[in-house]
Amino acid sequence: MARRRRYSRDPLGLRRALSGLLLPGLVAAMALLAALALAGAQGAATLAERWQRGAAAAVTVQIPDADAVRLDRAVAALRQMPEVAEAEAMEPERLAALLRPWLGESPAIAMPGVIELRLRDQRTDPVLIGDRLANVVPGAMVEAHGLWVQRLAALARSLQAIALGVLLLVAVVAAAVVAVATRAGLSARRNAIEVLHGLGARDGDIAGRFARRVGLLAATGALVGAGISVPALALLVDLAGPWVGAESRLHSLAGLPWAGLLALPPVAYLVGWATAQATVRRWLHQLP
Amino acid sequence: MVRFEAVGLRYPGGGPHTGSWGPEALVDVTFALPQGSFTWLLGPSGAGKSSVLRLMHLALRPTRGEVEVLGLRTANARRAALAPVRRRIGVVFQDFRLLPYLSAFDNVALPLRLAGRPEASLRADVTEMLRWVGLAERAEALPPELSGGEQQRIAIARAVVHRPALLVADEPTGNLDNHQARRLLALLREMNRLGTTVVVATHDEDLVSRFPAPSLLLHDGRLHDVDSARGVDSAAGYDPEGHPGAWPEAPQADDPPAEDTYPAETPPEPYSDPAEFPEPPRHANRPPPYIVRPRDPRRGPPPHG
Repeated sequence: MARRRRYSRDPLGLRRALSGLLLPGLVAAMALLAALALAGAQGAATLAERWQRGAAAAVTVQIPDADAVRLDRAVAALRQMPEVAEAEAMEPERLAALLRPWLGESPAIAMPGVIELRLRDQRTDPVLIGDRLANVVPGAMVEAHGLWVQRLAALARSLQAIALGVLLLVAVVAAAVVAVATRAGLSARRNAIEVLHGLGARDGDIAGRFARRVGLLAATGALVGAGISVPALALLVDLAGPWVGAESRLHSLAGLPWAGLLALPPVAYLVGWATAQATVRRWLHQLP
Repeated sequence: MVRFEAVGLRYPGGGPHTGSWGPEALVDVTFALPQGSFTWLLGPSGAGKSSVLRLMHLALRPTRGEVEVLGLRTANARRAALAPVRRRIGVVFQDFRLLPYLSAFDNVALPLRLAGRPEASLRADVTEMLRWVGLAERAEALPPELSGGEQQRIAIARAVVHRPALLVADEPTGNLDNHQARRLLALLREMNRLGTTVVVATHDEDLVSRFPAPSLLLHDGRLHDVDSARGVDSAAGYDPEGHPGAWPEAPQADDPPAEDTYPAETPPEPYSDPAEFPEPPRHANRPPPYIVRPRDPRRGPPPHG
């Protein structure tokens, strides 16, 4: 009775023809890659947003060999200029904190004085301000953040694009793997399919059975892969903490692309289902 | 019911190039079988019997001409239109074609499940059918655990469980001893009595002589002749070298109707609930112009002499 109940829903014997760990294992590996790509895309997006928010429209002036006199003189001169809305000398502590990721805790090199400017008009050429300031305080240099922010944002965007490309590639490879596995199942059950076809099974009946089985295997694999990716990604986010301002391990867990990870199994099911449908239906067309 | 109209059939891959076609396996085959008839399909090996049967149960489509089965003209039908007609056809193969990993019960239940019958209503029908073929106790056995005769009876049960309108059997007795062959024929005969159109391909002349019925004779892919009422005599006088003139072209309406000469010691097992099957029209088994064979105008005069 148990045997009958089990097989009545599986007349093609697909549980044995499409079994084993190969397909779920491969899909799990690809889900892991997809999770990494997702995390990469999210990380790049976070960085881009952060850089743009922090430094947009800001122009800094560097005063080499800064002492208080030269710094005050520069600030005073800048405040005189009509196009400057605001000029503020940066606190040395804040400067050190900003530069810590690049220079470490106690930089060996002398830190320049830095003045942050906000311009009344974004289109003002900061180089002209720098020239005029250099007359008052020799050696002063204007740094236009906007240019760098643009370049960094472009870099982050291209990283995002690469990550999305990797996702797409992973999906295509997954579809190819599913197609190969489906063909193996088809040739293993060729006789059974011909019998069912001869008994009047529609293409949709047979393809649907394959598609549901393959989709289930793919979703299982994706679930395992996504599960494995959680600790790995948490570790990576932890390592990247200084870049994105994460403070604790819990914080790094919250930084994972949870929506993407949760979407992996259903997406894997859909990819497996659709690929198996197409493969089986094309194969069935050789039968009259 | 089943109508062949100047049917030609070629199989692909006859030559060295893929895509080329072999010689015609069937040439200008034309006949018509009415509803509720029983027909032998005779001829030597390679004559095209299996090709005719495969055209009948829609495993092939004709290369030219037209095959009409259960009202569907198959030559140009949509692919999706074939499946519903297949579900109204039962097929018995010489090699059974059971699914080895399914129990006898599940094998017999396949056509009903494909038709979407709910499990609850299907169980009784399948059990009844297994009892009809005498295998009620082996319902949970897998086909490899069954003898050849038992497997053949499972195959029969699967072919008829959904009450097909057309039952096609290709050398169904090839793997059976005489006793089992007679028993199988009794089952086919019973199905025919209940209204199913039955076509049986065989080269077992003993079997044909036990149950005289109209026959189609194939030779080299051509329909050599159609006899109607004198099935037994014609089949007995069959000569593979081919003397087509030996069989009368016109049906002999004044001949006595063919009766089942099945030996009495193994009568067909009675079906418990005959009311479930409508009795076939009584004339179904009485052959006068039983097989209608229109002359194909392209063939010119008949190939006599």
